[in-house]
Amino acid sequence: MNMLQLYLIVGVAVFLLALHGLMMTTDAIRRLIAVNLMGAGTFIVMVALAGRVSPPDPVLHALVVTGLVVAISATAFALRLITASSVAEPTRQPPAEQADNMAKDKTP
Amino acid sequence: MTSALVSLSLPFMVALLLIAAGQRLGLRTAGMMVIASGCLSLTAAWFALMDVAAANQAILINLGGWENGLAIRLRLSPLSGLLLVFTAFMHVLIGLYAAFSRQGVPRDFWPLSSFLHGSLAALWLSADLFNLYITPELLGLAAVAMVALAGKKAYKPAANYLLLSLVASLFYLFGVALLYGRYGSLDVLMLASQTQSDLVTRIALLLMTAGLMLKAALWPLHLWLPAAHANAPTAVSALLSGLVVKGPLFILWMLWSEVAPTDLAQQIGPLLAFAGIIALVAGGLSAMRSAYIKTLVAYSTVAQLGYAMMALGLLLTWQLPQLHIALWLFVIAHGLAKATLFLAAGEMQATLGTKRISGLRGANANSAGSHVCICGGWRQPDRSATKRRVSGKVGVAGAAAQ
Repeated sequence: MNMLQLYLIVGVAVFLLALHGLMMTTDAIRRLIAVNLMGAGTFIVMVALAGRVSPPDPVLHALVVTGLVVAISATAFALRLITASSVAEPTRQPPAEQADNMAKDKTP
Repeated sequence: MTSALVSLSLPFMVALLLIAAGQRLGLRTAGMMVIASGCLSLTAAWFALMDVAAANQAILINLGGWENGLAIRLRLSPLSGLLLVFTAFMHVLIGLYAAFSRQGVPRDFWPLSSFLHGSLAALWLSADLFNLYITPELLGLAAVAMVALAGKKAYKPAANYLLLSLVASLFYLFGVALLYGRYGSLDVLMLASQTQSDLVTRIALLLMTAGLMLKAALWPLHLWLPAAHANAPTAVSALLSGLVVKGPLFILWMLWSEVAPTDLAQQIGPLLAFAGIIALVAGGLSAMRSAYIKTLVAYSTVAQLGYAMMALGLLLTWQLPQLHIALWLFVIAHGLAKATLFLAAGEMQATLGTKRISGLRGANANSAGSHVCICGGWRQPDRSATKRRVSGKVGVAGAAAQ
């Protein structure tokens, strides 16, 4: 088994483990980390495939860099959404008009 | 092609301008700018459609003048021209609703809607697999941000939507990496002449299909759609159901009808058609059982996507060119009808102050206009479905005659 095959197997294994983790957990932050690990698995496979020719294929490297940019911005956005949605409701009695709006909101 | 590029870049420019201007522009001015740019983009898209109709074949352009294989290649086919016009038209209509409805929209709706428009236009024009990974990603981010506009109660569905859309893109990206490793090309047209039905190609296509089905909310990967679409503000729901889910469907269609070798496409066709039929039944049943107006409309989207999926499956199984036209006519008709339906449902919900269907009793008296829209909206998919079925039957008869 050469290095290329080893890296490919590692990449696929990381992808599958992360997928398993994603399906087995309910906590939003853990799921987000699992998604990032899936991304890492994909990128390992891509970088490994780039090494199949010499000199290494620059197109795949460019794709990985673009993929990382997408992953990091989406992760930041997801973290903000998750933290914003889990902040506890304010306990203070809201003013009358707001209370009215909130009652409307609560009807599912 | 120039006019297509204008139609693509205008919305992006306006979106960036609005984000840069921030609070300095009034809400009404921002809305008017987006609607005006939508109209200009619509005009440009119309000229692009006329161009490609006159040329009678797809127009290709290599961005930056690089040679084939290195350049990002854009393709303006008659279908992309039509979809450009459709997208711009829908954005203008929904923009007008958002600007003049009593409920109003938050300020951030405007740059995001422009951004969504640009991403969709880029998607219709893309002809290489990596561009087709980036554009749905842009589309997904804009769509998630728009769902979150509804306020705190929508954050959780929005976060779920984002996670699922990321997972779907990764499946797709894994498939793209495998295809590139096998054939050394990302260009759809170059791949089309090279692909063979071997194991790597099969695995890659299956991974990409799973990712795209999740993104397009095709059965059995549709469960995120009702929560996301029903929780969004009304104008956003209309955009999501009318346009956004059609993007991944377009890629799926391109993947199987162009990139995949014919014998593989014929093998997957019946499976897709079967999933489509189940989506029709399951989506319809869930819609009947749902107690809320918007959830009902969202489940109806799942069912209608089942129709599209069935058409795609049959198209692949029988390799009938008539069904291409039927599929896209159906998609456009559904987009128009579903947008109308969501707007009417949202308007009734706001007028009557209830989200429940049971609260609609006596709705006729208060909002006759919305009611007419709803009736019209329901009717339209039926009619186009009949059209689709008819052309499907004509196709079958033709095949039998041969």
